[in-house]
Amino acid sequence: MTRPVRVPAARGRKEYVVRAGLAGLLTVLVMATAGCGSTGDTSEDTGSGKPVDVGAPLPAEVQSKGQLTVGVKCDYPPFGYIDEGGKDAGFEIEIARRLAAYAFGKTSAVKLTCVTGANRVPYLTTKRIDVIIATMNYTPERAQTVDFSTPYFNSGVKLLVPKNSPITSFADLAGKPVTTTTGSTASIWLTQCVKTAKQVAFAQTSEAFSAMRSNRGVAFAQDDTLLAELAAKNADTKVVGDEKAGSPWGMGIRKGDKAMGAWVDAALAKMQAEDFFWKSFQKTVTDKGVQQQFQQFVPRPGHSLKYPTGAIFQC
Amino acid sequence: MVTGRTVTASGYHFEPGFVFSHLGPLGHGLLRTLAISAIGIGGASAVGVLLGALIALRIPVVRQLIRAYVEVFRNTPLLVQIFFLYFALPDAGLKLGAFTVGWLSLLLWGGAYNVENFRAGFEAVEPVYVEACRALGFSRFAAFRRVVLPLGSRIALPSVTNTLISVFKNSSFMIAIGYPELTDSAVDIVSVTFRVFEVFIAIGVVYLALVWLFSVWARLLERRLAIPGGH
Repeated sequence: MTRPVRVPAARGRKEYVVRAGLAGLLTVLVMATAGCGSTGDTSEDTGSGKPVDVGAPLPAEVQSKGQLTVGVKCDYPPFGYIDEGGKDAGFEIEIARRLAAYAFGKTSAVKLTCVTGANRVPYLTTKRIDVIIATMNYTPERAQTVDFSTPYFNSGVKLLVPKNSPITSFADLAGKPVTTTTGSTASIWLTQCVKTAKQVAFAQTSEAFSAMRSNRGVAFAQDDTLLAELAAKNADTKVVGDEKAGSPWGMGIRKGDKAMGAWVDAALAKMQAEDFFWKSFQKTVTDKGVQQQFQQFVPRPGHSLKYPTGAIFQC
Repeated sequence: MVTGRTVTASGYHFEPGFVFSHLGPLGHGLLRTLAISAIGIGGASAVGVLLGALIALRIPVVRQLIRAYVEVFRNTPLLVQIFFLYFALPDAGLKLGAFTVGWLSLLLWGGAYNVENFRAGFEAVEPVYVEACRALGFSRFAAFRRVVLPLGSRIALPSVTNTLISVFKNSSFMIAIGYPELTDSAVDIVSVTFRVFEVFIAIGVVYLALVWLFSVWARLLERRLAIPGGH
């Protein structure tokens, strides 16, 4: 049996257009919400199910939230990046998940927020995140605004250049354009030590890299580890220059938050005792050459890193 | 833990005088903002009048081409357009500098909106005026130039002002390509000194003051051009 359908004249094309628009909006909304909430965990080790006593109490503020909020890099392989599956991955992501496992017994009890060199400290001071684990070198200036945990990695600044480039050292940059990222150690060092270099600063390392490749800068100045990884993946580039501004990386903790600082330091000491850093580094940096090069830059049982006491930025 | 020197436990103390020690970079940033905005605003106005007129005059093919331009630039985000001009075009063999991408992207984006603003203005002029002109022996072009253009532009003025204000403010998008305009300079200073409040309040005041001046001028212009008895 067919039912006669009558469309009133007034509900013509206009009504249809409105409905189609609404349906489209709904589809977009559903798709957007489905893609949200990427605290998802990919590592096999998901935690013991029980919180681990690291020797210092977890701050009550974090305890009551039931999860740790961490600012990480999302464009910085092999430390913090988004993998092919769209998930957070990298050495620092592993550390963040380990912290969550200590705090709440499961590696998924962590909310990862993408930060950049320029916005990571404001994110922390405005309490959007509990801790920064985002390739942050120790500098006396930064130590005035945030507290640093004990160091968990060490790196210095080098240059990435096209394979056939005549640039061999930082001195060659005088008067030339060079790409960097805003607020990075590389940028701060260049400002002080190669004053005539024309910095072109981007928010993302990926942008600074592609700008260098399209010859908008003769070199890309950044941490040696990132550059080594990029050079290993891009055969038309190479790393040059003596290591500059070498300094350890620490986690950033809100100024004066002693409870958080004590817990993080205790947790890092436990990771060091378990040789977690080296195991995790080998897992995230698969290139054997890069592994070898940076072996002494991770804390291991009996091998600790120290912050420098004097000025870091010697030219 | 490594503890620093001066900051209070609550984390922040406000130093209003701080920005004065960074006036140099902020001033240079402001000049660059004004430079790309001025070219962008001038260009977007010219593009708007010219292409808007061509659409209103209903010239075949040209009209469709202009429509295509408007749709492309109105239906894609400005940020995507900037990234395309800066990062994608070099692969196609055309390398534009950051300054060129700055004013060009503003011009193309603002131009697309202005085409619509002016077209709407021209089409709002009542056909009887054109018919009267034609009856008096004016050519189509002369009728447009002497009657539709002056009347339609007046009608379009408020929405054109809106678009041009957006063009000015959108110059801050150039931070994406590291062009050191005002916002980029500010973020650069913040990334090293962490004086978030002082720096952003300062540039906020600068943007506010400049846009306010511009809109006051636009309102004066509107009043001055208003036809007694009104259209």
